[in-house]
Amino acid sequence: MIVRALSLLFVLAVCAQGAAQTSIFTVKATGDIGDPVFAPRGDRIAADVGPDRICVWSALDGTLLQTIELPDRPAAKIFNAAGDELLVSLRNGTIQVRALSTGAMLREIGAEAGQRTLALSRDGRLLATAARERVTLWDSSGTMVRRFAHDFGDVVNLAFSPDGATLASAGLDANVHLWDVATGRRKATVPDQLLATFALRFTADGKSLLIGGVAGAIEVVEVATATIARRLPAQKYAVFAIEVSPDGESIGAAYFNIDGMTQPAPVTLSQLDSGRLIRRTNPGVPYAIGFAPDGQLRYALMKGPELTVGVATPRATRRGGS
Amino acid sequence: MSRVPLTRRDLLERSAVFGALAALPALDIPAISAFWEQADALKPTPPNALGPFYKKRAPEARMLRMKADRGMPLAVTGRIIDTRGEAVRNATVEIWHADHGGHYDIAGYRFRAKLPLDADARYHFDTVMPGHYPDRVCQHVHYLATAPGHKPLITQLYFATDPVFEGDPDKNFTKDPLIQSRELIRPVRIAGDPKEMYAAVSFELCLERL
Repeated sequence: MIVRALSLLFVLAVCAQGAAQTSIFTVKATGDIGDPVFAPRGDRIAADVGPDRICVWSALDGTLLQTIELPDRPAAKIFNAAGDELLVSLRNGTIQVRALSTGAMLREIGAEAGQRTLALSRDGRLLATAARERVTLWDSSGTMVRRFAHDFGDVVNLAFSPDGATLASAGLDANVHLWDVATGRRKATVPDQLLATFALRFTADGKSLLIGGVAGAIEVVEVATATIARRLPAQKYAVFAIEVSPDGESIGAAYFNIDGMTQPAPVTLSQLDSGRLIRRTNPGVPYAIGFAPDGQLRYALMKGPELTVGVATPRATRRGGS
Repeated sequence: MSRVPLTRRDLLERSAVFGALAALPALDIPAISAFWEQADALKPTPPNALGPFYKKRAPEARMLRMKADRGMPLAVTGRIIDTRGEAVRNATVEIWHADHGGHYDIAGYRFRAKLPLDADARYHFDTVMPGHYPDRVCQHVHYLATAPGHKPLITQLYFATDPVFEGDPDKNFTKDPLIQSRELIRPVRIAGDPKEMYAAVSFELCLERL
């Protein structure tokens, strides 16, 4: 009897996990979709469409909000904190700031080619960009302020602390550095990192930095001492994105399959304090995640011209178009 | 790695310099010396992507192959030189690659090593022919070479016998979008006796001076 009850519970648990992966909309664009990114508030999503166009949709229902034509191929893009501007670095090195209400260009910065990583401070006053191992810091007028560098290999992620005083950088040289933005001095290097880190996310109070990469575990770094305070249970996948929920209590993470990055990999939701895994979904190959204003963790999948946004709880599916 | 080719134009220009040297003793000799030095320089080994699976603190080792390992035994030899052809004895060379099945060892250090160099900056290591990593077109071995006073070199070694090249790497090397230079595809020689055959490859690394 007990065995049957346990078996039933197991089956229910498995079914619940399967049911938890639900797409809320799919949009079909006019060209192949690439490199989707959510806005910090999780209410918008931008993706490359074809070689030189970016489309921005509502991440809540798939409504097309803006189409931005570009003079060159985009290399990277990010939203500002309010989600009303999009910063796009082009392959030729130009960085354009576009207004999402009109698509118009607000500012342009001339950088060297190949700025493939971007980060913006919360107040929008500082922009960090990275091309290969070099990181450049720009002020809001587009003037270069500082330059940092990793030892070798590409810098793959950058993140400003909430107060804008510290910049974290992660590189394929398997280093995570913390830089003093005011002086350009390297304040610390997170110790004992043997494999590359891809995901960096400061907590809202700026006291912790969440990192994750090929090792598969999300680590909580105490910023003041640059030491690892806690390590969440590792998955057998590489972490490539980490997001913190609006209430600061949960961590969303997206993974890629180490034995083939185009193979399916999970999205997880964990409790920040305890590290307890709340939910793990297997949506396919996730390319981006973001917390929506309602606190739900959303993920983006792409296949050819289709962009699908999914959520961990069941919702009605609808179709839209660009 | 190869020497900068001497073109017909180079020859004509050099001949002109010799003529001018005889006729005009006030010429800028250091500039001419610099020209000759540059003309004789070796081309640095082309760089190639580092990839996401570099792991720090690889153990020093030459023998990476274990008895139970599947895959064609592979012996790779080479030398670390600078653009003047001089041995870079204080270089550090790290290599890593996928196993026969195309899997990288993340938890440990299988098929990862820091290579010892001899007094002439030569290296060798024994391993197995890497498999095809699912998201890459070609078999490859990653290299990271660093030395004081030189630019770090991140590159990859490819094999002319890779089925992807269909026997013609000159024509087909662009099938892997990451291969920007034909030079990184090295000939593979079958060596050893019939009972213990292995693939032998030579790959010299030429570092650029700072």
